[in-house]
Amino acid sequence: MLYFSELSGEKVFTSGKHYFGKITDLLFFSTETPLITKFVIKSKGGSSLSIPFQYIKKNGIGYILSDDYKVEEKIDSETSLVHKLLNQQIVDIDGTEVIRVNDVVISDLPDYTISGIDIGILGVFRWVGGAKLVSRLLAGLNIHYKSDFIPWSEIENNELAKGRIVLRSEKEKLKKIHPEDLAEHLEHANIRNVLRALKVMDEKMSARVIADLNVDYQREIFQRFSPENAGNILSLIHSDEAADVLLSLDLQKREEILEHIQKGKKQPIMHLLAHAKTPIGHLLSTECLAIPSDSSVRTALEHVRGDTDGFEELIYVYLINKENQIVGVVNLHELILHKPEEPLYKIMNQNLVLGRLSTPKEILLRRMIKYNIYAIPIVDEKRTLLGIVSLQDINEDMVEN
Amino acid sequence: MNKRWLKSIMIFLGVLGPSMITTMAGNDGAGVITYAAAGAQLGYAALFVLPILTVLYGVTQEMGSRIAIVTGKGLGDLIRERFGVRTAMFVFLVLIIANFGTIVTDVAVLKTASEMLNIPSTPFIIITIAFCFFLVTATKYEKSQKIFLSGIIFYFTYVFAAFMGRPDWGESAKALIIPPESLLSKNYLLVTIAVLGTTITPWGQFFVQSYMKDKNVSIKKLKFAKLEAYIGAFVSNFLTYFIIVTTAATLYVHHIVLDSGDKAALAIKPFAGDLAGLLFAGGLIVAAIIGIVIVSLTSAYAFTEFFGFTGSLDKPYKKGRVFYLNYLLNMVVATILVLTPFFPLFAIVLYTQALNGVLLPLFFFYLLKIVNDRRLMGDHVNGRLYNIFSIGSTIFIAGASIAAVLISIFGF
Repeated sequence: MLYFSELSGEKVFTSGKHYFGKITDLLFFSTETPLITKFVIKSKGGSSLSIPFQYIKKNGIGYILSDDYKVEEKIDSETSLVHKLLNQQIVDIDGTEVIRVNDVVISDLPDYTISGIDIGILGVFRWVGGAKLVSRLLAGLNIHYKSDFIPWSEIENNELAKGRIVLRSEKEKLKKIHPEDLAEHLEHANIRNVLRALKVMDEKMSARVIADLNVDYQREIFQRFSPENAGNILSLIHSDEAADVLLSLDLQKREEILEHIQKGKKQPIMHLLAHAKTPIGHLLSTECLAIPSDSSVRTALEHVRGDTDGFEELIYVYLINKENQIVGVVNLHELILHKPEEPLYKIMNQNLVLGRLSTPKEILLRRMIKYNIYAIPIVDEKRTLLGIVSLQDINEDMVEN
Repeated sequence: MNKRWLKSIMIFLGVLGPSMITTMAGNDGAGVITYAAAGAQLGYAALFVLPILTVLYGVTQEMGSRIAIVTGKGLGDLIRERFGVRTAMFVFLVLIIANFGTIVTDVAVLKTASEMLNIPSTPFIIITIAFCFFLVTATKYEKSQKIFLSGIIFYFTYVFAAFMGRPDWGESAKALIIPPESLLSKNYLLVTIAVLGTTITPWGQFFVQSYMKDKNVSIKKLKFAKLEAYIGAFVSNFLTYFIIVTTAATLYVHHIVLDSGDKAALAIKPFAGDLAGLLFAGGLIVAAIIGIVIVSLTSAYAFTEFFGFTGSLDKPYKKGRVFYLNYLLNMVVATILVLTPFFPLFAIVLYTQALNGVLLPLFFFYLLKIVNDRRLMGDHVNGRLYNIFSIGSTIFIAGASIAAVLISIFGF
């Protein structure tokens, strides 16, 4: 991950290593998965050009612009990071001012997405210099600096498009006042927004966005899509993910969509679906550790020592937000390598490989092998961690049967 | 017909506050001693600058109020949002330093004024600062605003003091219109620029906007707020007129040289009587208190606006803790410095005036950028004529303050 303060002002070169300009802003879709779509580069001549991210690659020297680059105008559904997010005030639902966005946290692997915002005082110092000095000073004075990171999932993305930064948790509070109507209303507002954003993306991009979405959104989206459209999109994502999505739909819809899946893709998906009768409930283990993502490495290690005494094994520590949703993972090796003060959100891997109770164990196994991981967290529709299925348990189960 | 008038007046009184308080605070302790010194040095001739000053003051205050009402944001908010962290940090630092200098000056004025009245100065200052803190923390916005507004009544002590000096009213009225012979002399320039610099200040520009923002005035009442800005500028300079007249009629006429303006209360006694001296010193104390409160509040506003911590006068005490702590800290540190023996007060006052002078153009640059930004202001951007006038005034004020700084540093 990186901070926007680190990216802003970075030089961009042509492939011939000539200076082209510097990065001044980023454009992104203010949706559930805030993909950064364009870099705004102030060229040598002084004009601001918005260039799709595909044309810009990072290497040892800096940012390299490929020769066949195109300048594309900002479209309405894109939001400017500098104008709408950075330096703005975050408001709660009453419109009372809370605090300012001092920096934006960007995840750069595999694609550029916004993972959250930094509201801490260190964010200010990162812009004016001296951030390291201040953090060392605070540590020296034994002041425990609470990380002030707000993950994207807590921000109302449809409000942001209107120019206001509103915390989602505040909206959740409202839900408590009128539980039925409001909850339903908000869900609809959100899904419509997701759909609107999907419309302006090409199929490849929307397939990627959909693959990242929560299962309830996925189901919602595919129920609204025509079978043809859904089939096209599912053909673009990995077959095990496609199978997983299809399993969450009812049988009739599933059949309709399958008709429209590309020939080469259909076979492996059908194969995976055939295994769907093998539930994983009995494989689920609750021997896993989940802690808030704003804790420090030190806290995480303390939890490992204190809470996992009776565990058979422990490889990953999962990170959750205030709503108990899983947002990232770190493995023990990474945990030991990093400095104790480091906040976990900074080192965590956000590209989670997740499973659901409806996911067949064959799919889980394939994923573990493909991504080289030893355990997959199983989540419910709200992305709450239910437990894990470990490679070891799947192996044993398969050997036995 | 009568009723409509009455209604308009009621609405105006509802809007009344922010500009009036800001322009009055422009006559703070630092202001009063500068005006007193100007009257003593230049006599009635010092009055010539007042009509121009009133217009300039009204224009700048009006722009600040308008921005606050249209955007609902303070100058600090807008600078941060539009120009980014680095600019905001820089502007914040220079503002807080300049403000601090003004607060120190006002606390020092408190000290000399209390000494003149034979009040033990240390306990007096400590009690006054405590009073200033509770005045703001323990009262709600509406109430503290009323207290500030009633503070204005005390400024009328200067009107009485002026009458006791038996000035030549005809002469003083003429001086407002007829340019003095000494207009282009170095001394005249320096003194009038000091008057300008202590009236139109960066903190005044900041404060009117933040205070107006806190008042949540609806955009429908914009025209009343505009009117208030001009009325505030007029009333504050109306009082300045009497301060200058007081020292002009007494000290200038009798060729008494003041080494600093804060001694004026003592110096006018032989000519205007003990009561006049008493009134003058009393007015000075009120002026210093208003200055301390308003300028400290400005620094607190600036901090919360730039860095986004919740806080303003419109919020309950607990929620705005950072704001009030900031407010208290400014006053306490200034008090400690002034109470420290051998504190180089004169140098601080001089450097503060210079810094305020240099900052003014910088602030006007941001102010004009913001007031002409259609994305923020919509149709309420400056009109063309207004812009020509305000940019012209800005250049005039900037040129004058830079000239004053250069003259006082290099002495040519």
